[in-house]
Amino acid sequence: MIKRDFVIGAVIAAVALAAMPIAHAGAKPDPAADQKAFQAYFKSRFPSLPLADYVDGPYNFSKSERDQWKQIMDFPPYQFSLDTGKQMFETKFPNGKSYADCLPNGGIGIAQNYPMFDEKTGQVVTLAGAVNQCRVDNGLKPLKLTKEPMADLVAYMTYTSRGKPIDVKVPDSPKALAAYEHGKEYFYTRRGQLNFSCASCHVQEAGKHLRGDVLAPALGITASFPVYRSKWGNTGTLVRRFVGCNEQVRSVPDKPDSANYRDLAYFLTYMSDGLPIAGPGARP
Amino acid sequence: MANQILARATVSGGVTTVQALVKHPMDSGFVKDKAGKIIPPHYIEVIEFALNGKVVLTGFWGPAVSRNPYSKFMFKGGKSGDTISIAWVDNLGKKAGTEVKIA
Amino acid sequence: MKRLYLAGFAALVLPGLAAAATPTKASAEHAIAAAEAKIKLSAAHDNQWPSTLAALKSAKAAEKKSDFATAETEAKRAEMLAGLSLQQAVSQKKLWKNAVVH
Repeated sequence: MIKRDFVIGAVIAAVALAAMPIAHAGAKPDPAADQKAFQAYFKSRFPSLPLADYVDGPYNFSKSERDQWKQIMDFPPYQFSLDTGKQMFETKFPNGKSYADCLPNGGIGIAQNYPMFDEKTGQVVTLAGAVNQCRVDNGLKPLKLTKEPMADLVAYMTYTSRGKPIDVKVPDSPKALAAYEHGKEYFYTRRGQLNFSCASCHVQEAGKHLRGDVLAPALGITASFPVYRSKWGNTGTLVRRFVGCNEQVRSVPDKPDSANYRDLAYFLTYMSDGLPIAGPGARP
Repeated sequence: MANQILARATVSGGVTTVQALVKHPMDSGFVKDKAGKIIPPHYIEVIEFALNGKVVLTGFWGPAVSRNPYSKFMFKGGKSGDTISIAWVDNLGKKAGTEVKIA
Repeated sequence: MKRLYLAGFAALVLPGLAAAATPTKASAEHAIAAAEAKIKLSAAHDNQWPSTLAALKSAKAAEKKSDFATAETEAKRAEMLAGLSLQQAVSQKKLWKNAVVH
């Protein structure tokens, strides 16, 4: 009796398991599939919001914020950053070279391609990272990644890419895929004493209020960086916001040039491929 | 110094609209730096907007105004080609100014 | 989550029950060392809470002033917080996959 029940039970279990799609640990990352699912998810959440509009983040979900933003953008607060950034970009280094000599296409209209994966170093390179590499290669000190003047320079370079579709690539190499997957894991991992992940606010609660702010969806969220935040009173990079987000969930932030942040930027920006660069942006 | 004041003036139906973004730290004197030391007060005290030399708006700003103040105001009068001049003085006695033509 | 709460509660109550002995410099230093070891572990898992480090800092400051009772309490709190953040990191290693958008 018992043996028969056991056999029946085992057969049922086996059939059930076979029918369930099991995610095999160690399955090869499929960034393209992730990206498709990510964009489809938000389409189902906000069916009437056109894909390109996601780059305006919170302004899609609050009329009063949008109206204030439209007024502000009549005279953009990041204008000083742009002017300073342009000046920095065009100034030659002491050795006679300039940023144009290091970067593809002379550094103009390239922001949509970053972050990119550097097979030689096996690391993700952000636009700011590429700028610093250029500086170091030409005998200059690297700039701090979070605030001005790096934010000014990146603001100008991003401005020259405005409207271009984000075009981050994840090559089919083990190291690139590992960096991508690491960024994806970081995005969904809960951290800090408040036990929130990036997804907690920017996927689960996207479009809703968090105290006085409106949470932007993760889709398109990198497109308007660097941003002039009214809260900061100046322009800051994506990394600056990562540090702030960590602090807000009561987690000790990483160093600005950490692999965590670079890989996170890689994953996050890749999810928004196809959306137009909108930076530099203005946010509350 | 370059980039101190960005301004734009347009006229429509006899009403001129002036917008200005003034670069200034506007430190109130109440904020401490990371080391715990007070950042000394440094803010614009008075700003004047003039049409062809005649003052149309005086702003008495002071420590309650935030960094890089943006102003926008309208007044009856002015025509295309007229000069709007902007000048400020801060609590340390520094001054700056600029001129733009009404579009 | 529930297990996390229970663990935290237990971590809070049990040391209190055991701290019948008078805190000395030795016991305070022992508590601080234990906290630092736990903190090292949670740092290795890339998940540190500012409150953990603040508790350790105040434990060390109290120890310096020979306030061994406060030093020990704060050190034990730091150890508990580090333990929670470590547990969070370890459990999230598996749990993050459940949150992935699909």
